[in-house]
Amino acid sequence: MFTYPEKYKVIVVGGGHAGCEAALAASRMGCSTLLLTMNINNIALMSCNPAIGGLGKGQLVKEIDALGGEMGKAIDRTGIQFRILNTHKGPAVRSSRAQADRERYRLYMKKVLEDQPNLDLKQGIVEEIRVKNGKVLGVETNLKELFIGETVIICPGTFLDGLIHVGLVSFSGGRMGDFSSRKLSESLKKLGFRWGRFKTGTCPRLDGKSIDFSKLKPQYGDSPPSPFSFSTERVVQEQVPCFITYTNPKTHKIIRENLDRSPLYTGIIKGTGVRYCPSIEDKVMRFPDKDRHQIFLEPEGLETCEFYPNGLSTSLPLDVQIELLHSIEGLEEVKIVRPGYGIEHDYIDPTQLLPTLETKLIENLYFAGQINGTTGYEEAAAQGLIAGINAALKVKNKSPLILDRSQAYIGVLIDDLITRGTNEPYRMFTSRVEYRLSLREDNADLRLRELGYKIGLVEKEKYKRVKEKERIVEEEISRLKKLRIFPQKFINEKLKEWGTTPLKDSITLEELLRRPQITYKRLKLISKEVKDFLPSEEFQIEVQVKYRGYIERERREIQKFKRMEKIKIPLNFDFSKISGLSTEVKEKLLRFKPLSLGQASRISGITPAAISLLMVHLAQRKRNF
Amino acid sequence: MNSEDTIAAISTPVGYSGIGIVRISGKKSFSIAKKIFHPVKSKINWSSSSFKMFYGWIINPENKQRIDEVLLSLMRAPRTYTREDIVEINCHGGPLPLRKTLELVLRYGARLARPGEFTERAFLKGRIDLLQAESVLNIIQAKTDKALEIALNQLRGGLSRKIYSLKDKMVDLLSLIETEINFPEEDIDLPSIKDKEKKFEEILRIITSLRKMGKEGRIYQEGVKVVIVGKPNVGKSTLLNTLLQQERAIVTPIPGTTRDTIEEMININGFPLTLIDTAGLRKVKNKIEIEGVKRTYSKIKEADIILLIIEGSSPLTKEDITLLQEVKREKTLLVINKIDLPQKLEKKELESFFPEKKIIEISAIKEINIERLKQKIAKFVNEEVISSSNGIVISIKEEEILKKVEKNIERAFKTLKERLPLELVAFDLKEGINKIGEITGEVTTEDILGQIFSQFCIGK
Repeated sequence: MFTYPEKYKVIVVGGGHAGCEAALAASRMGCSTLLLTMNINNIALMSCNPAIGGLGKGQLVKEIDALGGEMGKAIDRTGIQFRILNTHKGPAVRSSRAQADRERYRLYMKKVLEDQPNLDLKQGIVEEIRVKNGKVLGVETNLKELFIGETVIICPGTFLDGLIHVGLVSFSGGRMGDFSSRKLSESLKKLGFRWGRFKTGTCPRLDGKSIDFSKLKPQYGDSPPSPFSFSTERVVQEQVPCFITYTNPKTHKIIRENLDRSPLYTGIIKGTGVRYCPSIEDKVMRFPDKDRHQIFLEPEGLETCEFYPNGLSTSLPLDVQIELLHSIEGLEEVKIVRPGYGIEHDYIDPTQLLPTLETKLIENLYFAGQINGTTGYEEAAAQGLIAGINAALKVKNKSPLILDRSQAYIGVLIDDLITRGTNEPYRMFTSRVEYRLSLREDNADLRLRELGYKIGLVEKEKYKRVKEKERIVEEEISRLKKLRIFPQKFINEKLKEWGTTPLKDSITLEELLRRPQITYKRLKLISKEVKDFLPSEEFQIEVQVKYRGYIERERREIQKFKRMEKIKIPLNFDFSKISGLSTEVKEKLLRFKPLSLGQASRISGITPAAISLLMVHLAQRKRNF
Repeated sequence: MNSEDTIAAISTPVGYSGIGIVRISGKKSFSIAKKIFHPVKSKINWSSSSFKMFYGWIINPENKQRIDEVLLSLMRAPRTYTREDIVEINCHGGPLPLRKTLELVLRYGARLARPGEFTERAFLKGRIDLLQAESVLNIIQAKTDKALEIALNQLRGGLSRKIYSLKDKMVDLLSLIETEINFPEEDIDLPSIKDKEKKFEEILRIITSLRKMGKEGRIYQEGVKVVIVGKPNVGKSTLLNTLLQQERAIVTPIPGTTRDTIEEMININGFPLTLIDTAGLRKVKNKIEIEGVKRTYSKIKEADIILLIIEGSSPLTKEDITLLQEVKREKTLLVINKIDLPQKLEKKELESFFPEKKIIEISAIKEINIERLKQKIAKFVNEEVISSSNGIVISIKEEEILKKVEKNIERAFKTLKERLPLELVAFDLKEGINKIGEITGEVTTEDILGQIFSQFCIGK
């Protein structure tokens, strides 16, 4: 055994989207950090589709960015098609999405890691987590190297005892072309973690030279593209389209006829799959009435001819994959570069985690990403960031950073995982967010920049800029509340043209802006008093004025929520001593170990009466100490 | 958990005891009481009185209707059970006035207390110790479990089925809207705005009918409606007063004195009854009287039981015969009044209208056969009214919730019709679902997502 001479403050195991954010956060906060990954060439590799963002996920990326994470900047520099989805359903459910150049994204992130002071990158396969007296000590690699670390963050993605399936062939692997980390999984199980098995899958990669694009409808991005990061001014690289095609009854027939060779339908795959990204065989079988399914052909990058047929995730045998592809318009002659496959992997029951993502079982050990039962790059990155920040804060002996459900999508994500657990791969949706109207992409900076600045991940300049934005928006709204607009011929004509009632008496500009038909831009057209600001500031003024009533209603709900959240429960509180609780409730509380009364109330099966009793006991405890 | 708001509840066991207490605790207790309580003979110093009792009436400030004759206790913080301002209203009139008083208290700013919440507050403010609190809460928890059992039993009943189907329809609609919001890129058929509007209309219809059905079936809480009709001066008000044993309606020998209808609650053999005295029915010229007669007819329509009164001291008049023909016989009891006077009525004439067992002879003024009349009414309620009602009982809590749900749905519908962003429609619909969840059990995000993924083929 060789003990590496340098002792790290933070060791991150895994170089995927969670690992990168964790390592960057910890090192940027001044902790000596080591990132250990199986293959340095595959840092920040997108294993599945080459895209970042989407509904609910765009919000996560913006929050990561506001807190000082890297994902938003990375996609801004390497994205090749940007779109804002849902522009007509309201600002809160508007989300950014971008196609990524897979290679450029990976290289960008690798370079950022390499250039980062306090951060060492090393190739190595971690096989064992070393623990002493209930506290993590370090990690051991397959080459019998021992790295000592004060804290350890585990981000193995799908690699945790990964098993790849193509048809009836299966083999051990973390991703097509990579080893799996079976020993690491064994080590975690030995430490006593409850675990389960999930299944996910990905699409075949196609040779673009063999696709007949002339038959297909292109889909272009927004022009100009809107960046993710609050620090990016403009997206400068070349933009390219995606293409849309569809499966057809013939495709479905091929799939149905070959189900006896599908690992999913022959019972070989036992892990629970992702409902939100079903394989094409699942879609065909579960919705037999649908005679076509949409396929997006997404470019993998600017310097490659590979295409990703989004919507065709499959673990059918290779010959069936070819046959079904050839039944699809535009793909009649297509060649597969890499086959699609299914993969099963271990995950750890996330209810064993604290809101910091530290495990309750072993001090200073953190889990982030797919290991916690999630799916998606953005979900992984968000967890990596929070684990990295909290490991660093713990090392520095500072109080943790915990985002709650009323502050951020990240807060909802983590609270859902640690409080409710998950029995299928967890993906973010805007529907999961109680205070959706308040937690928007457009105000992620206003919500979280300050927190990012306080922990040392956001530069003072950027923080000051947000403060300035906040000030401008507030001042302008109160100015609009005071300024009155009087009925005039040209104004009323404009109002009629826009489909809203003309003025009879004077009203304030703020009242006028509240009307659905009136935008800030239109307000400028009818009043010289309305000033020009940055587009993001004007948007903010508009949303805050229009949504005031709703936001106010949410704010009252948030206050109620916070009161329960504020009543803390000590980590080692003995729930078994509370007489009057039913055995079932006691067992649940002992198992989940909630840290606040609010969290306890969200555990399924905990009754309001039990919460009353619990509150009484907590107050008693406080009185005695 | 929020000790800043004011809570209220009926703090005596539910049932038909003569009196019951509505308890209010919190900052607004006194100001609420001030709005609805009118002292008789005494003056209340609302800013300094404490640990004093006052006699008076609970009166609905909106329509000046008297709800109940009560004793009001004021207890000023901090030396109270909860360490907050407490008001206790001792009601006398049985379940309906008790319920109506609580409704008024809730309308003027209190929130319905959760089981055990007074005790919880008492403990949190240090008024009682853990042991005391625990024992109270344990009992309450046991009760809650019992209530749960009853609730489960009710599940089979019509109300629950209706409420559950309402919830399902709301969840269904929200799932559709959430699908549209969360999966803009999918190739799926989504409902048009028209479809969504239709769904909203259907949901509103169910809520309206639920609230109405609840009212119809709310016999145990609202009372059976007993309408007293008859030609002028036949002794309707006298009978009412005899039954109430208190001066309530103005009784004079001038025909047509009772121009409006008068409602009172009484309790007969455990059944709460709402007695409704009506204007005498006869040909009228006076405009005010016409109005009174109109109201009488509408009351007759609403009635569960009609007490049709004729006098034994005179022969049948045309007016009597019209009434005998017009009332619905299956819900009518025929009362022959004034049997203390010389009898001039030909009883044989009546037999063509009513079987003998539905006829009773009394004297309202001399209180002859009043007890027998009560028995007959009770029997009638038992046999005819209860068995024919649909058994739907809506509690105060459920009604409060349905009212709020209705408001949410109306708002969401309006937002949709105005073509405002869909996320705002979802907002009110979701809030409504959260509220109805207080009856049906929480509707979680997983329920919504489950609905979406079972209905639509989604995901790339």
